[in-house]
Amino acid sequence: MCLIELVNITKVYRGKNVETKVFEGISFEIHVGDYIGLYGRSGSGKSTLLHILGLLDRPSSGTVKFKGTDIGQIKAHQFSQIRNEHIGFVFQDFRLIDELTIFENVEIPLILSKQKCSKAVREQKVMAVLSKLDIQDKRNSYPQELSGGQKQRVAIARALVNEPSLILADEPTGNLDEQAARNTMQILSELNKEGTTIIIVTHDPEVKKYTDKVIDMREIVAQM
Amino acid sequence: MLVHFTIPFLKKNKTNVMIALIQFVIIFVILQYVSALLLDQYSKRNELDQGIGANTWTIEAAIKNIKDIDGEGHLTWLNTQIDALNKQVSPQHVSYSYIDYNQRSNQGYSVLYVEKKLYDRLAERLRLDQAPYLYTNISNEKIQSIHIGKNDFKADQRFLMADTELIDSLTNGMLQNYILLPTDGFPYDNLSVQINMFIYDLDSQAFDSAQLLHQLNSLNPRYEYSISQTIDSSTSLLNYSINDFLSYIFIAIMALCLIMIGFIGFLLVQFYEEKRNVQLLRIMGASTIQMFALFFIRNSLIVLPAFTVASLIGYLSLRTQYADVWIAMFSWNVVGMIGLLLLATLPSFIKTIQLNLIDNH
Ligand SMILES: Nc1ncnc2c1ncn2[C@@H]1O[C@H](COP(=O)(O)OP(=O)(O)OP(=O)(O)O)[C@@H](O)[C@H]1O
Ligand SMILES: [Mg+2]
Repeated sequence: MCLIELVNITKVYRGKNVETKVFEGISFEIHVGDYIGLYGRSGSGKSTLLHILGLLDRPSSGTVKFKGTDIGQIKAHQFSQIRNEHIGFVFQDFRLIDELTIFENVEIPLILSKQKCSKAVREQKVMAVLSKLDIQDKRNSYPQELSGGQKQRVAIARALVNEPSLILADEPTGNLDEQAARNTMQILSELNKEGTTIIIVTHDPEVKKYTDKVIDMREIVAQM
Repeated sequence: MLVHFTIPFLKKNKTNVMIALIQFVIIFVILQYVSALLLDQYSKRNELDQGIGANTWTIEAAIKNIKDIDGEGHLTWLNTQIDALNKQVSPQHVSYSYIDYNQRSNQGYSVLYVEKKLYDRLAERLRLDQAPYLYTNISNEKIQSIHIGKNDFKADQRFLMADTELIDSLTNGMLQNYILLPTDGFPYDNLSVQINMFIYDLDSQAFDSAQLLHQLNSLNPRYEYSISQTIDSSTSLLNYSINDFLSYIFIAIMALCLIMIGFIGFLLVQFYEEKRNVQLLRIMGASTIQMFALFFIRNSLIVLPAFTVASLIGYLSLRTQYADVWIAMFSWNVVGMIGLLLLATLPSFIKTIQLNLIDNH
């Protein structure tokens, strides 16, 4: 089943004086259950593509279909709801909120969710993902008290808590040592085996061992 | 739910929150003082307008240096000043009166000379009121309020308008009464009289009071001139002075500047702190309404306690002085507080809407 379909996507950034054309006429499909590695050199447009896939940005032209719906037809304010319910984000720099405890950080997507759930249900959901990622004992700690690998696990827990169908990870291992990177990749692999679609942006050739498919920015740009 | 979300942010930024709290307390205290001052002026004006009629002004001359009182008579109004006044304000709006204390006071009454225009005006009024007034135990301010055409008399008081012959025939029986006489000439030859200069039937906007005062002051440096409305009510002496009003406006503008500086500082710190988190919350699916609620709640948690403290300070310090306007002032301040709250929230909110979610670390 097709989760996301990109048809003839072009992205141009228009600054005051400069115009940056990142890519032009890209088309591909992402299926439910895919585990895709997105490769390319710096500045080739990986993050840009990921943002379009994650409904954080619209393409300059072309069609993006999310679960069969053309997002061009969706109102901007509905993007946030789709992001909240269907998409989890993981970043290289973890992006945890320093002011909140680990528990509170993971709770955020539940609080923002349109489907209100009680405090008890939230507690249960948060603890479930924290246990799954083996960081339940850090629930009352603050991000700065954690190692990089632990922070990334918290970030993954946060991405998972709303049980999204798609996880987008922008260089999730970029700030981690070898051990922690391997651990993170294993966690993502397991999630993929459970059915979550994952797209991961990376420079790291090691990552190829885990992913099923590879999209090389050079190739899709060359297709144009 | 969002409330419980904002509290950790405030707790973690204690120093900044304390600074913001103090800023807002100061802002609200300033706001209270300024609004009390302005409202007080406003209500005074209203009372004065009703009491003596709008658009009537007294120009007063006060001696600048008490050591200058040397027993010599000095002119409070010079010819050059009269000319300057007539240049600024059309003579039909200018009039004067003076009391002659010395002339016949040993005979038990004083004479109040009133310039012809004013005399006619008063005569008209008094005739309408039918009976002539005889006035006893009159105070200076009271005389002024009579001059300018509003009867502030008690029931048993009468004010008598008379010509010279009539005065002569009346002198025997009367004590401590004023007799109003029309005059055609400015009393330059009599230095001992106190001259009251009026501008009447003229809106304060219709003449440049600041320039007029500046001219009067520079032409006669012994005296300090002021333009005001004065009424002597049963409880207090009301005085509404244009100089005061101008300085209040100056104070108000300075206060507004202070408020804006404090406020902009608050916004800048807030912006700096929250950009990253705002972006993150948006990525995780926070709607614009949720973002607005978040900012609003967070700002309320700073602004409301500050307002409460400031109101308490205001209540304790302003309550007696501005008792009449306190309720009005408080209502205005609530409006101001809500306005500031929205103003504080709006930039963050607009920023959120404009936010380009793409961010390359
Ligand atoms: N908001 C923006 N405004 C203008 N240009 C942008 C913006 N974001 C990215 N770009 C430009 O688009 C191009 C692609 O950027 P992008 O971030 O997608 O690259 P990337 O492949 O993720 O690089 P890296 O591996 O370094 O993260 C770059 O030339 C970049 O300068
Ligand atoms: Mg990138």
